Amino acid sequence: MTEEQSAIAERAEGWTPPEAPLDMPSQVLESRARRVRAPGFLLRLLPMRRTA
Amino acid sequence: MHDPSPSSRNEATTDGRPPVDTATAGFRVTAISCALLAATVASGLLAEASIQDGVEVLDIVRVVLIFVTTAWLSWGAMLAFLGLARTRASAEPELQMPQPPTVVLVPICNEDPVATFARVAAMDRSIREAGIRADIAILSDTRAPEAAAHERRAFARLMAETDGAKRIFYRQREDGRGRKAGNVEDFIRRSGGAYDFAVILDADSLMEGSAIRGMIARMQADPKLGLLQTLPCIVAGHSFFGRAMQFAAAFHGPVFTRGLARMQGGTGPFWGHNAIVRVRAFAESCGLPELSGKPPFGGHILSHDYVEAALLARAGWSVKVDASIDGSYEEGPENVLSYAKRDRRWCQGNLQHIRLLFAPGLAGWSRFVFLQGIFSYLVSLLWAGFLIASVAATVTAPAPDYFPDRYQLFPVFPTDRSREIMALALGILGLLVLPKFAIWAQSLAEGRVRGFGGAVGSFISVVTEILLTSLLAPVMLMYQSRAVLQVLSGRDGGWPANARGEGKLSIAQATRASFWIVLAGGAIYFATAWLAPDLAPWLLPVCVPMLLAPLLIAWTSRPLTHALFRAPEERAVPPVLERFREIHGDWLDELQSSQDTRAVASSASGAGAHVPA
Repeated sequence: MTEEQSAIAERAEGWTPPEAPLDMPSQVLESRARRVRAPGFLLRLLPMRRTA
Repeated sequence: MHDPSPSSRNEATTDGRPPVDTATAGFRVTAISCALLAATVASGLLAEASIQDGVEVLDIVRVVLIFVTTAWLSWGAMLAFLGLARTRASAEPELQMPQPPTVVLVPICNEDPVATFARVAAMDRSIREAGIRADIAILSDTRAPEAAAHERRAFARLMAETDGAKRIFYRQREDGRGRKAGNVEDFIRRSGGAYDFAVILDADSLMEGSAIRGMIARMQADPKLGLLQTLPCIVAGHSFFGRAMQFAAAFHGPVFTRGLARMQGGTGPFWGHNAIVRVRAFAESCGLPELSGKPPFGGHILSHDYVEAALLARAGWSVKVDASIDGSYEEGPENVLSYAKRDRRWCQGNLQHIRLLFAPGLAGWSRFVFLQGIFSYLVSLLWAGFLIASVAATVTAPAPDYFPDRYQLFPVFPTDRSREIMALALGILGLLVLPKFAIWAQSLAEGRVRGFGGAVGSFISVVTEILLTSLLAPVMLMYQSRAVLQVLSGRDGGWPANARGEGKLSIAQATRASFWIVLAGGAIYFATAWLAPDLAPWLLPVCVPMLLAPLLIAWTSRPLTHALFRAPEERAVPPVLERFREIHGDWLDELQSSQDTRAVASSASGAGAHVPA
């Protein structure tokens, strides 16, 4: 590290903005897809998965 | 600290959103009605001309496309016409002391540090001269070690120039999460509690301290105001293209923005920079989630500014744009390729808003603004579709039947409908050029033309800008259509850094970037000339600029050496811009001399390597 770089690194500690946390909640933008219950007779038409 | 409680927000409707006042509703109804009327007339003319030989599917497609595209053009024209009317300027509120704590945020990522930090130095001095105190935080997302080292060195120089300890800050983020929106969000989460207001800038933004002072006073005077957007004036244009954009933004921009402000009311726009926000309002309503799925439609929200404006309005805050705030500047692209590159990014960002059209709780107008943004890119594809459908309709049209009745003595010739087609073409041309001539006429009456080269000079600039944009329109249409198709096919263009100051392009560079446009233009013209020779002359205004694309792109990137496109900021250079140029020049001289010193030292030591500062 050169002399100039170490001087900059030393000063850089005072460069950061003040600590004053503020909550910023993530907003809801996507509507949750509604789950549609399929009628029972339709489910019966689906091919059954065979288990070994 | 000024703490706006929810009760001090807009007198909200039952769902918490700001109510729409009668004037705004009136402007919206007028603009929408006029756009629909013009679209109906245009599609009626085309329908009359095209269905005389029977109704074909292609005729219906063309009528629908001309309806939609004309409605879009009329909408743009209405923004200008609504903006022509001036209202009496109300008295600007005075800044109340003690001044609320304010910060100026400068998010950067791989920018030229010397120019960026020189702008900060100029703004810092201007802020102090305006008698206010505002901290400045440079928020870096630059991660390449060498580039970050350049920034730190430039920041040390800035601190020496401004004596800015505890007033000017610099921090580098470890991850680039959420890009610019995430960068600002990170600052608000860590330090937002220290400030009431934040002025959000871009790396190329410049603002006068007096403008910032006035904006703080406006925010103080209106506790319902969540965000106030300025219309930045483009400065530092050198090329023909850059200066034409600069002229158009300065001459036509304020009128279009006034129209937009009237139409949007309190559900106004946010363009991502050169705006002031109420920090607590922004923090509580603008935390952006990552969208499910992969880019281009999922992931981080790219065009975050539109979404943040919509979220502020959803939470009951008003968002306004005011074109009359002086002292707000930015730089623009210097050539067609830089413009197209930025447009590709914006295209992906706007099309991503398809996912947000039905976001819960948004104001209807916010959804409409999303739709407009989406449509501003889709419309290129629709114009291209209209041209293709027109050629196809002509090629597939049945031969005229001169003897429709069996026992007919004289032939029946098809009615000549070229008058309707000419009326349609002139109408569309009128929608494009009339607003600009109307703005010139008003500027002449008000004496505003003085700053733009006088009556004759400004008129020549207006006409030249119209000719230039007409010539470049087919080239831009091709770039936009490609961008839309890329996004729709799932190609993520990323978020490349802005190419600031990119100037002159050689013919070879322009050809490499546009040879596909030349090929497309040639193919369209020769196919039409072969299949439908009568239609070929109508396509010349579209195909000739496409065939000449490399020449146009290279020629418009050349520096403008004559007195076209004058702007008031050139006659009376704004103080902050003048100061920036001085500081920037000084720093570059210092850099040059330190490079010379190092070069001499390194050659003296026999290393021979040139170490950039």
